[in-house]
Amino acid sequence: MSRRLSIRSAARPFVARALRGPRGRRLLALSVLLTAMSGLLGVWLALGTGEFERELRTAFSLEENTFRQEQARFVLIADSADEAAALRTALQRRAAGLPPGYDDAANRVQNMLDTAELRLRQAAVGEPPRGLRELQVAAVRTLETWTKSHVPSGSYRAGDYFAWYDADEVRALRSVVAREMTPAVEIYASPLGPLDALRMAGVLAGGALMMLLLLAAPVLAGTQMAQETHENTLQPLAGSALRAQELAIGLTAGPLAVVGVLAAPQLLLLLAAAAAVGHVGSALALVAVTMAGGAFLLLLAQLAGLALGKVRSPGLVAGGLAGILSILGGIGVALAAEMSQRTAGTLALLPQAAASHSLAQAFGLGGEGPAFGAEIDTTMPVIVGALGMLTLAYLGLRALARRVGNTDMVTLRGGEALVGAIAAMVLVTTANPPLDEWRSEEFYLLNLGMLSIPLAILLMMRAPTGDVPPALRRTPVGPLVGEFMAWAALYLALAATMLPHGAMHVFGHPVAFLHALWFLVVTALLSLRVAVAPMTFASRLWTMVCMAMLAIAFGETAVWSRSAQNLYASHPAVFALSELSPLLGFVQAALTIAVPWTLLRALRRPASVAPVTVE
Amino acid sequence: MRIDLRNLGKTYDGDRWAIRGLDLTIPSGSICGLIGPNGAGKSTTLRMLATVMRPSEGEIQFDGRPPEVDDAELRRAIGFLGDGNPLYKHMSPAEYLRFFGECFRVPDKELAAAVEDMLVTFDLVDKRDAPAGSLSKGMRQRLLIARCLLHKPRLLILDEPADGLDPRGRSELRTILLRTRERGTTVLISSHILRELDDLCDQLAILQQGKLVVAGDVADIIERYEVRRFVYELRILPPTGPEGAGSERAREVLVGHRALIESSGFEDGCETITAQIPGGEDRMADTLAALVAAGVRVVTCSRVRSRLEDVYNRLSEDRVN
Repeated sequence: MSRRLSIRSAARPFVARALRGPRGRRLLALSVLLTAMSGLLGVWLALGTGEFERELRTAFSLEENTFRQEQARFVLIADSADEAAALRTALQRRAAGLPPGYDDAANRVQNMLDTAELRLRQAAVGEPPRGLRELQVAAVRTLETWTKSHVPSGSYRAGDYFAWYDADEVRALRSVVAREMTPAVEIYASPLGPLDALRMAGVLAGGALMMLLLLAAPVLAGTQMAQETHENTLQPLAGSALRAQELAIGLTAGPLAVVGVLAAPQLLLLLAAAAAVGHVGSALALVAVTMAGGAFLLLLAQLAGLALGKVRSPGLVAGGLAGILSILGGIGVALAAEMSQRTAGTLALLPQAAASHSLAQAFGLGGEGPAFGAEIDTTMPVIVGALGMLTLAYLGLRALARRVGNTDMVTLRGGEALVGAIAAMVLVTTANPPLDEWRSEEFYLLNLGMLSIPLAILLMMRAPTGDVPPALRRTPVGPLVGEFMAWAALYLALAATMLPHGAMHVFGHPVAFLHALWFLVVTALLSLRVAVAPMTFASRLWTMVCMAMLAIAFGETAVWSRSAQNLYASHPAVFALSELSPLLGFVQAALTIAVPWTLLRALRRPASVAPVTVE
Repeated sequence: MRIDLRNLGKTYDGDRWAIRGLDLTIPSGSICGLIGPNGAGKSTTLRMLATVMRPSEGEIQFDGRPPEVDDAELRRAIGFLGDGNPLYKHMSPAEYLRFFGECFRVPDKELAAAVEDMLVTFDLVDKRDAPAGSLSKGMRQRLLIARCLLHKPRLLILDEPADGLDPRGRSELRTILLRTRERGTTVLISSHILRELDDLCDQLAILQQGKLVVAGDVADIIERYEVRRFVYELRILPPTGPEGAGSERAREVLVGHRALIESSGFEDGCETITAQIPGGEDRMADTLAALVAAGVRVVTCSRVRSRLEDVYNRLSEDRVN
């Protein structure tokens, strides 16, 4: 059977199951409804005249606030016909020389005229740029007409300077002169047009696409996998005529079909809007990043569901996944919104950030300001991020197939884990590139710390955990720790090529080097311990102690990795806790030996805590 | 499909063995019963046979060849009902069967007919569109068995299939299994209800505490492990006159010879009495002579063969049912 046919036939039962009977029709209806909502919300946000949508437009820099609009065009903007009539009446009273009233309309008219008069008075004195001299003459003429008196030139008073180089001020002055101190009265209407409405609809469709692929799809897939495991429905599937790889594809295709039905029209709306009023390239980048990131997160969620489904309810797994992904999404959107040149690389690491950024680029969100990094070239991190996520997603699929089909003792093979490690290194390096020689630790050490998490997960996938009881497993501790150390060494070698010679101070001081070595070895041992040996309450507590010690060791590596001059100035202790108290220093020293020793011991004798299950 | 188990063993914790040293041959086209008390290792053995679990030691051969890793072709020839009744509660029986039919790669042209056939065979036509979660326990069990038979497997493995079935359902299951065997399918079945296996199975394996106690042809096993109960069935004609000896007299004679009367009835114009006569066949000969001497008109006297349950009770250290 050809590969293509195999994937199709593997996915078909699961897609048919996901969209069976009225479920498919309901999903289709929901999809149409969601797309209609994107369109209608777009129109409403762009053209609506209510307070809420006006504030939203102002917040997204799609519209100036009412005060600035009034000043710029020298108009009084009313929210209703009644308010407009009151303003006109107040203006007429003012023109007729009658005393102003005390209502809101009279106050607004008075304030508007006072501000305009002040602007004219300021413009009448001082030296304007050559091109605006005519405007100054006109301003003087308008002021004389208004005050019915001659305006003397040349005399300054405090605060009489007109900001001739402020374009907004000049525009406001022109409006006052053009209207001859008689403001117009308008009923409020959105300054945006139908094309802007399409743009808003595109933004909303893009947002919905991000939500569906980066949040809903992983949560749905992870929950379904947890449910299959929890209710033991995976066993009949594993006993069917589907190969492990086909089963993994099928289990992924089911939830994707549900999300696909909802996402497809949003995707069409997004691309149509981008083609009409945005940038198609950025919209396609958004689609690529969302799909690659979504695939990675989905497979990660499935692996989590598979591991947790045995011990936790599917609802709890769903809640956990939704919580974590929502937090990541929030961080991603915030990073994209406040992006600077320094943080642009994080787009490679967080698909949510890359997607938000691409969406903003596609529809010009954030205007001309620095928001969403409009002026920053982010092509490289976006492309690297998408490729890295796709690589990790493929590895996730391989791992899932091995676990659901129980076809192998290890979840990832050596070569696959190495590819995963390299992908992680590239992503982390792109996210946090080297700055300069004097801040080299912020590059290679910080990255090593960040990398320790994905590398630890990869090592756990290299540990033998298949359908063999822990007591009968032989965990090759030495070779696996060696593999982990080789990944770390590869990263440090990669980092060394990006830094000037001698900038990696971790190799310059034996204490720093030993702390780093301890950190890496214990990270590897702890990962293996968690992966291969059953956990008891006591072992969980001990794991937390080990993690605290890892954090301290990493901090000490960072402190001891500073340049020799800095070390001479600060005199750090070999065991940092001894600076708090000699007893704590002794405890830290004891734990430095006890932690690796206990982990090694647990890895050699896992049977003593193994649970017993028969039939 | 012929199954050969060689030194098969499985441990979950590396310490205690769910099953160990299992050597068993199941001929192609036979119905083999796997019996034993809870914890004997039946379900573990069946899971390994269904290739959803790997043995810790030993080997399984299907038609003389061991399974490959991720052997989808072999699994396509196996129908396996495990324990735990895993069903998708929101799927209807028709959707459930169709889903598994596709997973077992039943050709599209045959799938609809196969699903319909299973719904009819297992009396689920009326519930074809009802959510599986709303079905009774028996109906769910029928649906699960239907799923195992849908793709016409060459090896059918059923773990406690009669669990939750009513008497009629059990009788129908027996008929279906016999019909399945006629197609040449090898059937492997585990059950606690030994009477159901008694005249259904032609092969038997008794497991006890993770070890095989006895295995082979059912008739041979019963013959080999015949229980010395000496139960006889007597057929007696009614007396010819009011003074003649009838069943009452026969009972008196039997009790006089320390016989334990198990049951009595009336069949084809004859009284039937089933009685246990302790002390061997000599005692029965004496008792029979006494009956004749007392004027009882004995037509036949035949020894009742031991049942599977009797053999199992003798062999087992724990009682079941």
